[in-house]
Amino acid sequence: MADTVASTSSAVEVPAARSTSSPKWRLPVDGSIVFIYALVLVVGVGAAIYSERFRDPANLTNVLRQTIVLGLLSIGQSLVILAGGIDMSIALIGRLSTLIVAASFGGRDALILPLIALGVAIGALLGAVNGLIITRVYASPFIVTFGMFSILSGISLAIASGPVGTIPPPYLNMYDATIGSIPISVVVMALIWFAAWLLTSRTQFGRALYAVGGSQRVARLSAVPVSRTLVIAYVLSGVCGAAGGLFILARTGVGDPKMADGLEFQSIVAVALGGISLSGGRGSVLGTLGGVLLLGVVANIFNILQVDSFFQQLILGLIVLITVATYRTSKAST
Amino acid sequence: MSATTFELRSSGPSPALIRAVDLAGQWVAPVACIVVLLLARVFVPQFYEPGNLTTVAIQSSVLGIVAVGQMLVLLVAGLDLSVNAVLGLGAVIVISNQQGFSITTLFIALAIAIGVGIGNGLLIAWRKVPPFIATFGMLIFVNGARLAYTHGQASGNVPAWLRVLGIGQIGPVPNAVLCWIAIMLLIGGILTFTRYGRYVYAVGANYEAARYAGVPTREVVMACYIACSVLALCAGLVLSGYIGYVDQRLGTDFNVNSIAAAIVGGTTFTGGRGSLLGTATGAILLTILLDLVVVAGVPINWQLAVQGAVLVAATAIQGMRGHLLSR
Amino acid sequence: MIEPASEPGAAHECVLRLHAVAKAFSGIQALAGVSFDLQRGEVHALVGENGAGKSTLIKIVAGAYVPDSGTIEVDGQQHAALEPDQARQLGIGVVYQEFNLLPELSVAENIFLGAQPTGRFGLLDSAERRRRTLALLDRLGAHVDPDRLVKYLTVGEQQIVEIAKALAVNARILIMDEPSAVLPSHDMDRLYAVIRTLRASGASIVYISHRLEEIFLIADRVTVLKDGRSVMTRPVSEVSRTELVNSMVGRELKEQYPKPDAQPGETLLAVRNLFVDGCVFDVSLDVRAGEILGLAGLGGSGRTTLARALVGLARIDSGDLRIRGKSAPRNPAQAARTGAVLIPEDRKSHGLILSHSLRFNISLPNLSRLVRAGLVLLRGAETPLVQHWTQRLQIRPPGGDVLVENLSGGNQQKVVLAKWLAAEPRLIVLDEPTRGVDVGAKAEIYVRMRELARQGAGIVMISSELPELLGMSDRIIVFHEGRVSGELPRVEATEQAVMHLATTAPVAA
Repeated sequence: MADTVASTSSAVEVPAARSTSSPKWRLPVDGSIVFIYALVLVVGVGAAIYSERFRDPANLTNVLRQTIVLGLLSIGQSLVILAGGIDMSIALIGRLSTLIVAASFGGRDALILPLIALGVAIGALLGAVNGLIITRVYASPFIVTFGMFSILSGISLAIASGPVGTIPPPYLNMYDATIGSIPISVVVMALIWFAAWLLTSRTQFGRALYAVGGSQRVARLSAVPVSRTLVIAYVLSGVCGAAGGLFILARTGVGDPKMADGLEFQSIVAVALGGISLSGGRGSVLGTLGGVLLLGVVANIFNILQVDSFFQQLILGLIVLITVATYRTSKAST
Repeated sequence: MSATTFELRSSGPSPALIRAVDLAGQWVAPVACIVVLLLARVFVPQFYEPGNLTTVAIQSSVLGIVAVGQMLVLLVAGLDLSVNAVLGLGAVIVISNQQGFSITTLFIALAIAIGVGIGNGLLIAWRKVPPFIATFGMLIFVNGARLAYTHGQASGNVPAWLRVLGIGQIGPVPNAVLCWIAIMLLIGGILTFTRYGRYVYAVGANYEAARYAGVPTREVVMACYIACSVLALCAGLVLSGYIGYVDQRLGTDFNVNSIAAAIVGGTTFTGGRGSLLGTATGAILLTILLDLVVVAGVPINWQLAVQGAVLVAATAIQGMRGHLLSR
Repeated sequence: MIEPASEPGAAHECVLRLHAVAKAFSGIQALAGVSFDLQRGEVHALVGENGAGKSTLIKIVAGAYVPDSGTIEVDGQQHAALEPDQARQLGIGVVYQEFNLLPELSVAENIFLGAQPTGRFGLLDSAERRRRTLALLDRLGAHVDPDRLVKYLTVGEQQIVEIAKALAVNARILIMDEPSAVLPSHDMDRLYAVIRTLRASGASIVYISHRLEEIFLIADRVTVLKDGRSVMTRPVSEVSRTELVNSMVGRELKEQYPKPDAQPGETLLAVRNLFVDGCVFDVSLDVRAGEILGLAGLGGSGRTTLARALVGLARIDSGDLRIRGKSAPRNPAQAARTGAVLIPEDRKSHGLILSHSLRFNISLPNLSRLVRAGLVLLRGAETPLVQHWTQRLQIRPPGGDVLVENLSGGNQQKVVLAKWLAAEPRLIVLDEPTRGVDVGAKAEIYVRMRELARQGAGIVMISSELPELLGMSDRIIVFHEGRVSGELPRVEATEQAVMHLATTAPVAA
C-alpha cells in the first residue's frame, strides 16, 4: 500500500521504432487497400473472362446495385470499428425502423418523405442508445450491441410476424429509377461513399474516430472528446442501418420481418477485408468499399455458378477466420 | 508504467460503493430468482404445473451446461461466442450419421469440439486476438461448416440413449438435470481441488503475475476454451435428446443466454471471479423468465427481447463491478 | 563545448518558481520542501538519483498532483496547485519518456490532434496544417516529413514530434523527462541542437537527466535533488562533475546491516556476453553461493531486464547464461526447477495476485509439490506450508485467508518472498526488495537475506537505495544504460564511487 512514489525506475517502455529511418518514398495509400482492390480486380476480371453471364452489363449493374445495402451498413460499421467499437445491432436497427415505416405507410404517397425521415430518426435514436450505454458502462461494445440485437429481434417480431405494409409505388422508384442504363441509386451510393471518405479523412470528427480507436488515453490527453465521438459514431451507424433497411424496402416493396438477416456479420467481414483493423484506429473506408465489392462479386459468381448457398456460408466463414487469424495489433508502441 | 496524469487527482469511488456493487453483483441472481418465482405464483400460476416445471428443469440444465463452459472462459477474462455453433454442429454430426449409432461419430463430434477449442485458444492466447473477435470468427466459420455439411437440411433420428438422456427421468428428477449436476460437480471439483483450478483463477485475476509465478498461462487459457466447446457439445446432445429431432435453429440463442447466465450469476468480464452456484442460479433464472413469457401467453417474440434485456442489464452491473474491483 | 550562459545582469525573468513544495504519499515524503526556479530562456538541468523526487516535481508542475504545501509561481502568479488544463494554458508543456502519439496517424495529425485547422465547409485544411507543422518543425530546426505516419519514424523523430506537440499549444516552459534516455547516441546531437534552438527562441527548459556529460553540454544551471530536497543550485560553469556526484549522494549510514560472514562457494550463475531484449548489452558476471551481489545503476540501466532474463521472462538476443550449469530457463517454472527465482520490482502487478488470499499466493508457484497424482491438491499439505512460511517470515496478520491486498507493503513483500522461498531456490534475484516497505520489515528482510546466503544461496540484489546496496552487498556491479560500467568490492564501495560509475558510459572494450 505504500509504494506509489518511485517512477523513474528501470521499467521504461522504449518505443519500438526503428533506429534508422525507413525509406523516403511511400505508397500514397495503405498496402491493404491496394491488396483488396487487386483482389477485386483479379476475381472480377477472372469471372468476366470465364462467364458470359457475368460480364453482361445488366448483370454488372445489378451487382453494383446489390452492394448498396451492404455498402450502407458497412459504412456505419466502419465508423464504429474505427473508433474501437463494433455494432452487432446495425442490421436489426435497420429492420426495426423499416418495419415501423412500412407498417405506417398505408399506401399513401404523401407520407414518403416524412416516413423516410422517421426511419432515419429511429435509426439515430437506437444508435444513440447503444452509444450512451457503451460510454457509461464499462462493458464491451460487442456485448451491449449484441444484447441490443436480441432485444430488437424480439421487438421486430412483435411488430410484424409476417410481411407487412402497403408501399406506395413512387417509393419503389428509389430502387428502379435509372439515368440511361445506370441506376440512380448506384450514383447516389457512389456519392455517399465519397461523403464517407470525406468524413473520415477530412473532418475533425473523422480524425477523432481514429484517435479514439488508436488510444483513448492519448485521445483524452489531446482534448479529443472521447465519449461524444463514440456516441456520434453509433448514431451514424444507426442511421446507416436505417438507410439500408429503407433501401431494402424499396427493393422488395414489403416489410419483411426477416430482412437484413446476417448483414451485421457481412458488414464486419467487409470492413475487415478492406483493411480496417478490428481493434480500431487504422484503415480506410475506401478499403471497406473494396471489401463490399469483393463480397458482392463473389456472391454474384456463386449465384451464376449455382453454388450451394450453404457452401457459400462456409466460404464466408473461412474468409472471416483467415482475416481474424492475420489480425495485427496496431496499438501500443511496443 | 504509463504516465498517469489523472489517476491520483480523483479520490475514486468510496469503498462502501464498491462493496455495495460487489454484493449486488453476487446476489442478483438468487434474489431475482426468488422474486420471480413468487411473482409467478401470483400472476402465472400455470407455471407451477408439473409438466412445465419439468420442462423448465431440463431447459435450465441445457443452458446450465453451456453456461458452465462460458463461465470457465469468462474466468480467464475471455468470451466464447462460438458455443452455439459448436452445439449445433456436434449434435448434427452425431445425429445425422444414423446408420445405427456408432461411437465413432461421437468421437468425431468430440474431436471437432476440441479442435474448435484449440483454434480459439491459439488465436486468443498465442496470437493475442481479442476473444470476441476470435470466437466470433470461429462462430461464422463453424456455422458455415454446419450449413455446408447439412445442406440446410438437418435430419436424422435421435438415438435411443440420447432420448433417455434428454427426456428420461429417475424418479422425479430428469436425467438432464442429473447430467448437469454431474458436470458441475466435475468442473467444480477441478476448480476447487486441483492445481489447474488454481491456475485458472490466477490467470484470470492477474495474467502477468500468474506468468511470473510460473503458471503456464497460455495453456490454461486454451484448456478453458476447449472445455467450453466440449461442454457446448454435451449441451447440444442433451438438447437434441430432449427435443427429439435436430433442427437448423438448434442452439441459436445460446450465445447470448450462456453469457447472460454466467454474468447474472456473478462472473465478471475481467476475469478471476465467478462461482458455479451463481452461474447455475443465473441459468435457472434466465430459463424461468423465458418460460414465463411463453406460459403467460405473451408472444414468443418477447423471449428475444427479454434475453437481450437481461444480457444488457446484467452486463451493466457486472461491467461496473468488474471495473470498480479491478482498479 | 560549453555554451556561454546568460550574462549576469541580463534580464533575469523568473518564469517558474517552486517555493517550499512538499508532497507525501502514504507516509513517504516524496518532496520535503523543494525550492526551484527557472529563468526565461535558460536550460535548467535537474539531477538526482532514483526516488529523489524528480518525477513528483514534474507531475506537480504539470498539474497532475496537488502539493501538500508550498506554492507554484508561474510568470509571477502564485498558485497553490495547478490543474492539467490550467498548466497547459499557462504555457507549461511536458515531454514524458513514454510518448503519447498515435502511430497510425501522421506527424501533422498528431501534433494538431485536438485542434485541427479547418477550411471550407468545416473540412480540415490539410495544407494549412502542413504549413503550420513545418513552421513548428522549423522552430525546432528539425526536418521531419509532416505527412509521414508516426509509426515509420525513428525514436528521435518521434520525440521531436512530442516536443512539437507541446509547442503547438504554445508551451513556453518545457519540462523534459530524461529525453536522451530513449535515444540512440547518433540522435542525441539532434536533440541538443533542438534544445539550443528552443532556448534561443525564448523557451525555458527544465531538463532532467542522468547523464552528467550532457548536462555540461547544454545546460545553463543545474539543481541537484536529494531525498526530496534541492541541495544545490549552481550555474553549470561553476561546478565540477565530482561536486555534482557528491551532492547527489553522501549520507550517514543510519541503518545497521547484517555483516557478511560466508565464504563464497560454487558458482551458481554464470553470465557471459549477454545481450537481452535490446536493453542489455554485453554483460558478463558471476554469482557464487554464499554471496550477495548488488546491482547498482540509474533509470534505464537494464538491471530489471537482466533479472527477468534470469528466469526466462525476457528475450535473450545472444550470449551465454548458465544457472548451476544448466542453460537459460525458458520460463519461470523451469527457472524455479533449476533453482532460480525472481522477486519482481512491481510486486502489485507482477509479484502478487492482490485479490486473492495469502494461502493462494504462497502456494501458487509450489502447487506441483502439493499435489497427488499430479492433479489433486492436497489441502492438508498446503496449510502446513503456508503456516511455516508465514511464521518464519513473521507475516502479519498471519491468517491464511487474509486477502493480500489488505496487507501492508512490508507484509506483502514478505508474501512474495515466502512464495518463492518455499521453492527452495539456490539463486535468488531481488529487484528493489524494500521499496515501499516499512523500516521494521526492511530489517527483517535484510536479516533473511544474510541468512539465506549463509545457508548457501546466491543472492542478486537490485536496488536504487545506495545505503542499502552498500550495506548489504559483498560486491557491487554498476550498470549504465545496459552495460556494466564497473565492479566494486565491498571495501572500495562508496556512494560517490557507485554514482560515478552509474553516470559514466563504460569505455568501449
